[in-house]
Amino acid sequence: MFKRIFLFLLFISPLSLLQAQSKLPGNIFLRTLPNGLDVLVVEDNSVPLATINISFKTGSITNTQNTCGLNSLCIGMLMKNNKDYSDFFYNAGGLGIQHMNTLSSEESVNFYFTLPSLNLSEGLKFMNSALRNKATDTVELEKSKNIMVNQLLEKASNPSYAMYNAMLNHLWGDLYYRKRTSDPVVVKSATIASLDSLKNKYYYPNNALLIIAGDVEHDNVFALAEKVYSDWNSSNFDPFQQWPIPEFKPLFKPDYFIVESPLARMPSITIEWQGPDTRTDVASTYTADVFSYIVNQRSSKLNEALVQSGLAYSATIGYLTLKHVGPISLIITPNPEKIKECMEEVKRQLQIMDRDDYFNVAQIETAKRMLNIKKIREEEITSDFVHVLSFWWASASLNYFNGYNDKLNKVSKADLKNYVTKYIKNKPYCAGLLMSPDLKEKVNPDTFFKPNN
Amino acid sequence: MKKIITAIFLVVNISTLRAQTETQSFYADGIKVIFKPTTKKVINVRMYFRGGVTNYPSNQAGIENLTLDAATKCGTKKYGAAAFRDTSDKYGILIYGKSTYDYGFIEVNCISEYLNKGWDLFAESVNNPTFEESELKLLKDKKISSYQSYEADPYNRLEELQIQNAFKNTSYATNPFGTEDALKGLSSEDLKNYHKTLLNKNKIFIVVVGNVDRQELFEKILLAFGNIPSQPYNPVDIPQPVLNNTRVLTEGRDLKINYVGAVMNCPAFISPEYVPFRMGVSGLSGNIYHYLRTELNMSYNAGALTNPLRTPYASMYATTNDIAGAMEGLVKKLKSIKSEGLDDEWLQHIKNTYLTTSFINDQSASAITANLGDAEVAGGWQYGEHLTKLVQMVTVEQVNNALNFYIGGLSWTVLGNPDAIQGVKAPAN
Repeated sequence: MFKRIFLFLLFISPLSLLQAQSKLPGNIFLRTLPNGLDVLVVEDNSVPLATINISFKTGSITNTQNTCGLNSLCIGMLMKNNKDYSDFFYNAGGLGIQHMNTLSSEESVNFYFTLPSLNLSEGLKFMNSALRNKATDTVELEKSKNIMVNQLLEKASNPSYAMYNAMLNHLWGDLYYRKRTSDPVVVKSATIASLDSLKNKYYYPNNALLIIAGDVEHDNVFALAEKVYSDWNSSNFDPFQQWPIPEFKPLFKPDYFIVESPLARMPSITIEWQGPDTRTDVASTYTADVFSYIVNQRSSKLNEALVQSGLAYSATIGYLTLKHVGPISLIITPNPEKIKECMEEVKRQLQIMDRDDYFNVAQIETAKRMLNIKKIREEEITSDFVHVLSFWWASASLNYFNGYNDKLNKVSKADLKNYVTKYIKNKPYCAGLLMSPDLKEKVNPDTFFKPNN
Repeated sequence: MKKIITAIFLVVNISTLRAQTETQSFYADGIKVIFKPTTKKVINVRMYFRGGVTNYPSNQAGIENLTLDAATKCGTKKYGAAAFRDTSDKYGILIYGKSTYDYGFIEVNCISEYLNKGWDLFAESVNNPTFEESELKLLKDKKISSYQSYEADPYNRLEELQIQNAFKNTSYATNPFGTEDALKGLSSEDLKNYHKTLLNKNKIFIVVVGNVDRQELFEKILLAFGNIPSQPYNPVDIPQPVLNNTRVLTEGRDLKINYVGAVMNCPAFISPEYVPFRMGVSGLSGNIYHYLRTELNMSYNAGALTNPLRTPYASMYATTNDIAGAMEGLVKKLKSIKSEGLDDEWLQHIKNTYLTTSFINDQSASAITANLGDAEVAGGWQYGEHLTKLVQMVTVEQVNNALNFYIGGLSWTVLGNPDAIQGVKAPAN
């Protein structure tokens, strides 16, 4: 669920600014600085804190095979000593900064922290110094590379990581690296020059969103932001026009694979389809969310057939809203004694999801209510809500976020059936089965974990 | 000595509890209620059952955890299991039960618009669970499955092993989630009988956080739980472990990286040394993080924390491909902070970040509930409420004295590649 920002926001006129702001909730305010930096303020005075988050529209989607992981490295290098803060972490402690971290995902990278709102002005300067610092220290780069490789090794210690990597290759084909956050081989080969090259493409104010959320007053924040960030030079190009993202090749047939891992204590089935995105089929992105929240209800046909029957311990469907092809995922923890029967039932369910009686009006209404409540829950923790907002900004738009509930409420039963026939039923998918070598030997999945003829 | 404060490692369990309005406490027909009014739309309610792993023998490991979750998933007198599920889905009500080392609870979380619906499910779960046999069988299978997935995460397994190692031969060595065999052997009748032992006004307390009227809350509690019996309850104390530096527990697993941990003694939550000690462990955490991650690049994640159980402990940890080097590094930083101590500026930085963390934790109804409950079990919710003030009063001398007085021996645990853990020895402390 979520989407991307449109280009006009980067070159926003006073009129369009007013229009954009008028659509935002009463406690959220947007202004674009002359250098193109979008500044979003979320007012919430329940605790005396301010969270500052900078997001850039890049991430794994801008990877080439030779830069897979450099965004993570690049944003991580911001947390280094710089000319204004010679002892970065210690200086952060002096300002009361907490929850300082970086986040690199499919379509955005982020650097954020939370501090007492009394220190907001200093916090904006602290962020600015980190952003504007030019990394030149090869020793520090080597340290960051080692840390990142260790992080990847930690991930590899989790059994689901093997499935994650295998699914990327199967679902996205020869462009799999545009969905993968990091490749340790690429990370190890990174240089100051390769990071500079990436930074010079995407890390500009006119490709960024600065969010300040918490016990703040928007006019004061806009004034401070203008003072601190207005001399940050914009690029004179749109990186997505300059370096267009190639389209993913569609799947042509079901693709089954088995992943063996001695770390897998429980088997797991993951089925993924290439779903809609916010560029080409925005309406289906709303429908996808409603559909997921119908099927995930415990009264759903899928849950009855898999979980309540004892064939599986859990079954969850989801859709990740993206600008460049969001995946639809069905993740199942099968009963290890009934994997074959479980898979047969899954295939049967996929064939009947477009039936009139597969879901009823009450379930549709429940799904919409659940999504509305989800939004309320997301807004509860303001220091986390900034991540929701930055996600929407990068993969959809702030207007998409604001109109989300209205769009959901308009989704009809016919829309849901169309969504199933367009993206799921009889559509090619990738199906992976993660299991331990012992269980594989016992259940011999090669005999049944394959497409029907 | 490098003076570092890191964001992540100060975020340890109990935080201060101020925020939107003051917390208050009252009794409703003998039931202790801790209530924090807030202005947001999400309401969180927990009924706590004191005792945790001290409530049952080790051969019944997991019975409380299963009973409390089954109370929310296997039907009640008013709602069959399916109706219960449908109602909670329909109104976005999150309800579940769980038990851990010191306590169990049933929690309901909903938006204020649907409080009455959520409260009805909550009261039914506490008072009238039926533990339908067929639903219980499904739930037991799910519990076994989810525990195996939980344990597959090396951090979770390390924590389990650490506490089993340090608290050997005490109730804390019992896994509150249970074992596969123990869970399989539990019947609906067992759970019904166990459930009866939990309903005791002197054993329970309720924490409510949300935008709700106090009088309305009082009446809801009276109506729903007034009939719960009142019997004597005497909590069982678990002694502090005697730690020496020779105890190293290892477990082999085919991992890409190894996980190292060391448990240390810690003052009691209500002890005057507790807050200074926590400040010191925060400083230690920052130094470990900086040394192992930033200086030596030996670890992605390393630090230290305090775990405020009724019998609390502190620990250091690191993920690494150099087990001996990481253990040496942890000990080096521990010795360093014990001998050199903090200074005023460093302590002030720790206090600053501590305040931020406490406010961060004050944003969510469920986090505030958990923090108040933890504090109440460990010694009194007021300690949590006033922790910020206590933090501001801490002096460097208190921190340095607390670290030196309480940290002596270490209990080491290593989860790692079978080849890598061969011959692992504790470094000299």
